[in-house]
Amino acid sequence: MVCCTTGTLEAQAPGNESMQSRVKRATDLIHAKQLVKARPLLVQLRPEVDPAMHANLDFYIALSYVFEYYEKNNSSALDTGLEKFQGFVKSYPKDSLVPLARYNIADIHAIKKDFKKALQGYIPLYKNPEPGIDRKDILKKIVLIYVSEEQWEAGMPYFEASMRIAEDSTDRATSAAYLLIAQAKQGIVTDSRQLLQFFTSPAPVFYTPRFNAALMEVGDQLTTEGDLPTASLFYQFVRSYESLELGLTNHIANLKERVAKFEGNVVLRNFYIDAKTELDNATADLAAVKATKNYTPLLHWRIAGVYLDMERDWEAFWRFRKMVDKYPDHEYAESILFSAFSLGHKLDQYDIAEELSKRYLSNPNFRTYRATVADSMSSMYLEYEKYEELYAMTREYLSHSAGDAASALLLFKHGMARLRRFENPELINDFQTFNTKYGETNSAVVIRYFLGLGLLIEEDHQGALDNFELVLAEGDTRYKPDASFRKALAVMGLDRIPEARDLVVEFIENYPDNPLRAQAELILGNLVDLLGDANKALGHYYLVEQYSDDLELNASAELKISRILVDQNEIDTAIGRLRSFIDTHVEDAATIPIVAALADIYKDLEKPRVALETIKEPIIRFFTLTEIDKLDTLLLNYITKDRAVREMEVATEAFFQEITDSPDLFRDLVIDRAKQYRYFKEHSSVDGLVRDYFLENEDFRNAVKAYFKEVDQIQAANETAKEEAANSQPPTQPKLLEPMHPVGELAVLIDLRKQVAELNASMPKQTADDWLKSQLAEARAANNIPLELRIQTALAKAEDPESAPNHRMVQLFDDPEQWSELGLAPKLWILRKVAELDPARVIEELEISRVDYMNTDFELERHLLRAKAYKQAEQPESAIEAYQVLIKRFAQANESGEAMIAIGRMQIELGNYQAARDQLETILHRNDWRGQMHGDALLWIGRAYVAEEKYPEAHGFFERIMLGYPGFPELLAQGYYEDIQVLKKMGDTASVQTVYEAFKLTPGLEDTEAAKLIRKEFE
Amino acid sequence: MLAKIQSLITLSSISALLASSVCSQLAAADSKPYIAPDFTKTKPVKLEVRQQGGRTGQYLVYATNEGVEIEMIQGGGRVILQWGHMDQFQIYMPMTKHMEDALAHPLASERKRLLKLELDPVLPMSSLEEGTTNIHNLIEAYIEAVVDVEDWLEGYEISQKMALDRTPVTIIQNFYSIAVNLFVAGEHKKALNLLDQLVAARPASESGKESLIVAQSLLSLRLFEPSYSLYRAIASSGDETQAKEALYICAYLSMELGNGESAQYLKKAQAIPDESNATLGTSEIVLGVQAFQQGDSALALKHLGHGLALVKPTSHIRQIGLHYNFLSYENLENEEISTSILDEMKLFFPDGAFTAKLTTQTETL
Repeated sequence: MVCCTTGTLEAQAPGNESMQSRVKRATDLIHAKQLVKARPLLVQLRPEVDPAMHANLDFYIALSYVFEYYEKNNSSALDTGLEKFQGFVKSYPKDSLVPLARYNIADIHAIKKDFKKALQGYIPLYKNPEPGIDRKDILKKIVLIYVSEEQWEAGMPYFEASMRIAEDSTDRATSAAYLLIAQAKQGIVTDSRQLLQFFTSPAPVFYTPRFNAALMEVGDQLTTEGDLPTASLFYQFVRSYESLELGLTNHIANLKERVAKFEGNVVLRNFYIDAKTELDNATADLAAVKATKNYTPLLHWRIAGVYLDMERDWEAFWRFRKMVDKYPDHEYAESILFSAFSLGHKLDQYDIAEELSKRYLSNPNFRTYRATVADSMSSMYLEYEKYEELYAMTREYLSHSAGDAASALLLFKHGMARLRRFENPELINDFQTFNTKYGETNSAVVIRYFLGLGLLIEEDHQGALDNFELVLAEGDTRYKPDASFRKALAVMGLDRIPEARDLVVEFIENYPDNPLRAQAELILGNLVDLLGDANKALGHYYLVEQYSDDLELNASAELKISRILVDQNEIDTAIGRLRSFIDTHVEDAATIPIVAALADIYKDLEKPRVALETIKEPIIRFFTLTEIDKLDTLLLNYITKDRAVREMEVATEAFFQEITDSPDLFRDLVIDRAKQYRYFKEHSSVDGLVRDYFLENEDFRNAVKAYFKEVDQIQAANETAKEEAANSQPPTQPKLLEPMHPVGELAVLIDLRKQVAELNASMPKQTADDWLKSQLAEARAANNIPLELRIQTALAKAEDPESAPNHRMVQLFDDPEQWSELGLAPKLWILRKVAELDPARVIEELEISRVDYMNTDFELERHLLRAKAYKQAEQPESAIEAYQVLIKRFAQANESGEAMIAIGRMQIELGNYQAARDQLETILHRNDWRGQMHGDALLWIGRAYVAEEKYPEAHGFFERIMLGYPGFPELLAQGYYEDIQVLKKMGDTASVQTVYEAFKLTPGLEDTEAAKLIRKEFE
Repeated sequence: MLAKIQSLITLSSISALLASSVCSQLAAADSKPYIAPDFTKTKPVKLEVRQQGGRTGQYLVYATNEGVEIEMIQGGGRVILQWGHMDQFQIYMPMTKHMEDALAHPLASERKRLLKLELDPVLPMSSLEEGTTNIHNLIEAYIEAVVDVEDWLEGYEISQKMALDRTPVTIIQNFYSIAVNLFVAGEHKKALNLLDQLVAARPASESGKESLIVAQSLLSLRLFEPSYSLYRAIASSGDETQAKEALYICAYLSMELGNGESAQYLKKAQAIPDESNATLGTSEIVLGVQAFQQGDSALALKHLGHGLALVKPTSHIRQIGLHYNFLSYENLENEEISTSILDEMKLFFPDGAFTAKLTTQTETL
């Protein structure tokens, strides 16, 4: 406490030393801080000196015990010292050394770790400054005690004071750190941010676990309070484990040097004590750090967590991501990995999320978030259209976790993906495998459900029904409502219509709010319509709109409604509903089929111009939206109708001219029904209104008849007059009646022409072709290739035969960027051309883009081209398969019949005669294909027999053609020709002749190709 | 004695050759070689020359481009000593009363003025070998006074009067910071010239370290052009890790300067096989800046987030990352996040120009 010059002084007095000399020696020893040596002398002097000096001597004697403790580590000396100082205070309460004595008492308590008593000594000394006592020293000791005792709250005022009077940045930072801890412990964090400015210093305090733990606590507190930005700052100031270890190790090394430097130096004892204490603390801190295994991960986790809460997602993600690799065996490794995955998923980073999900799911010990990870990743696979990855994930996951919650989710997404991709055979295959392997697990319901769906689509109605019933037998699962509805569809497929109806009714009763309600009403409408109750069907169709926001579905219902209304001759109502639908959803492409249906109604009503006008409006509205494929169909419809109307205009005008020039024809067309029939069949382009006048308008017909009657009467009268005049003697000039006005002036005809002219006037002056040409020019000028191709394709398809794209257009196939912009119609148009030279490329393109075409207006066209391309590529088996897909998807379309013929032909070429006949015979089961299609099937069945050298059987089929197809000259002639060939092969020359004679007697075959062949053989 | 001097000349020639080789290595490909000032016209200074063996006396000493020439008394001619090879001699500035007064003057500006009067003539002697003279200490004291009064132009003038390639590093270190301050003071031309001279003149081992510190300081001050010229030199140094990082920063600075060279730097950097956290962090931040400049704020955030997770909290690169992180979030109209980033910058880089720029920008808005 008192700093003096140092030196070695002798305490041992010579025997005859004077008191003055002894006092001086004692004083020197005291000044040299050699109190232990001085003590015997002081004790010796005490009885001899003036009592006024006793206090001083007693003080130093007491102090000497403290020194003894330090010098000899003698703790009993400390007790004596304490006793002596206490005695001193008691004996000399007014003495000026009392504050110092109290200070020493407090020090002794502190040394003895009796901190409470020590503080009781220090605090009054600090609060009431006494001369000779350094308050800073006391404050430092108070602070240290509060810190070591972790009495943060009580220590706060002293930490603040210490920070305020600190002499260097290290001291200030240290005090700030303590204050911060104190504030944190009390939850006072609002001002903590200001303290952070101190923490960029390298003060040793920052390498103490206590301080860093406190920083973390502040961060935690701030996080809890929602002050995330400040929390993040606190966390970032927390030193990592590695930094702490390094920092503390360096600090300890420095302290060891200091301790060694001061050790044994009596004068610098205080420095030694400070350094030693600091060294002990630092060593303990290092040990504490080394014992904390989770320190750094917890820190990173906190930082990442705060960033996450602050939505600084990328910063949060990367911190988690780095932890995944760095702490794979951490006790929270699963949560770390899950956090990284979740963020990767949230940030929509496919590659990252996939990698992390695989790491998670492949670790059998990670169970907590299994379902979430699997579900999230499968959603991502779907979103990124990584279907194969999804399928692989399902298989892999089921192999070890079948039956858990996540496996059901995965199976669901797997199934949905297959459905969305129209991969129905694959769906069935997958789920049959799953059923075999995991059919006994909790996943059985979802497996059966999708199996049922797949089989339903494949029209394996019995198989579908079996699976749906198994689903329903499982009780109230989430699949039950859907399975109930699908079961009805399966039953419907089995032609058990009343049962199907009852099942749909039951479904609606049980699940009135099910999302499938609208679809169920539509199906129910169909079923009751099939059962003959059109009005009841209407009721169900009307309900569709009530339960659906899906315009496509609503449009389907509207089409059904309009069909029934037209059938019921409520045409105006039908038109009104369709128009209303179009007007209500004018901007939606779902109106396009409604427009087409409305146009057809007008066409059937012999109102082609109105039909045209109906189409024109949406054409213009959606024209530039080349991604709307339905419009391409409507556009072709528009061109065809416009051309037909223009042709009708011309043909009708020609007709008027013809009947004006040829009154006899006019008369015949009114009077002679047979001639009328033949004429209008031959001149089908004549306006329907005109035809109706001639066929049905009795006023018109009577007026015409009256006209011609009058003409006839005048003619007869004039003939008579001429005869009489000629016979009179002398012959006289006959008095002839005025001939009737020319037929062209016939009022009803003029009126009819006027009506037609008025109707024609309502047509746009610009033809569809002219409009499209102008649009084409504009599209070219704007370099709008997709639109240009839409127009070109429509114009080409309107030609008969379809014209081919030019070289520039075909080259678009080689330009991936442009190609992707084109609509489906132009693509197919170009691909048809490409297929002529490179069918393999076309097949590849059609396979890749398969999904784009599904359920569009061009799906059928795609199947057709695909099959033809396979055929062109000389892959008949694949071509047959492609045709079979077409047939399955479009069983009702005429193209299916043509596909069956094509299959039959190829099977014959492949030598599969029975297979060929089986396929062809299916055509004969379809009544709606009677006529040319049936005839072609018979012809090819016959040929199949011929190829197999089964001539009598072949003859039977050719004979059926000869007997049953008089209206089909080419087919009929071919039948004759091929029958003749068969009979020849059979050696039945008589029959050959008979057939030939029959051929010759059959009218209308003269100009056929087969006739030429027959004539060549026989003539 | 003469023979000894001649042999020293030969040795010094080899040494000079070696030195020039080192210089050419450290200088960037397009840097000019350092040309020391021409000392041929400098006036001789009377200095105390102590010779090995105890002979001491005051002689006129001439600084030349090759060394010093000591005028011998009584027509004894001149002793020629090559720079760096004068271990036989010690040359001292006499500690006159003027000199002592100048050194002891409490007012820095006056101290500077007085020291200039005393020391300006001996500045060429900074080339003397360390340990053979007191002149270096005196020059340091002079420069210290210059720095105290922030007279950066005088600091520059001092640098132009000594051979930077032969001056001890303790003096040279001052010139790096003087160069930085010249930039701050708007004396770009002089600052650039001094930096170029330092890079060209100093050995890579020293200039690399010092240049890096200066380059980082300049970068923190958003003084992109001089920072760029220094990083270019650092990028051509031998240490692969340092070079790789410097190349990334060159790429970044090229983006800031719009000189179109960022791609080539990125390519070069990526070709160097080093995957330390610091380098990877820097590369990610630079890629983030690139993405930001290309208008892809979302991609920028991805790279920046990665980089920020790797670089140390107080790394100078971090402020670039935070700066662009701020701008990216601002582009995405997320004001709350950008504010939190700026707060972080204010704390970690309170004096950084990036922080100042964004603070001003935010306050203006």
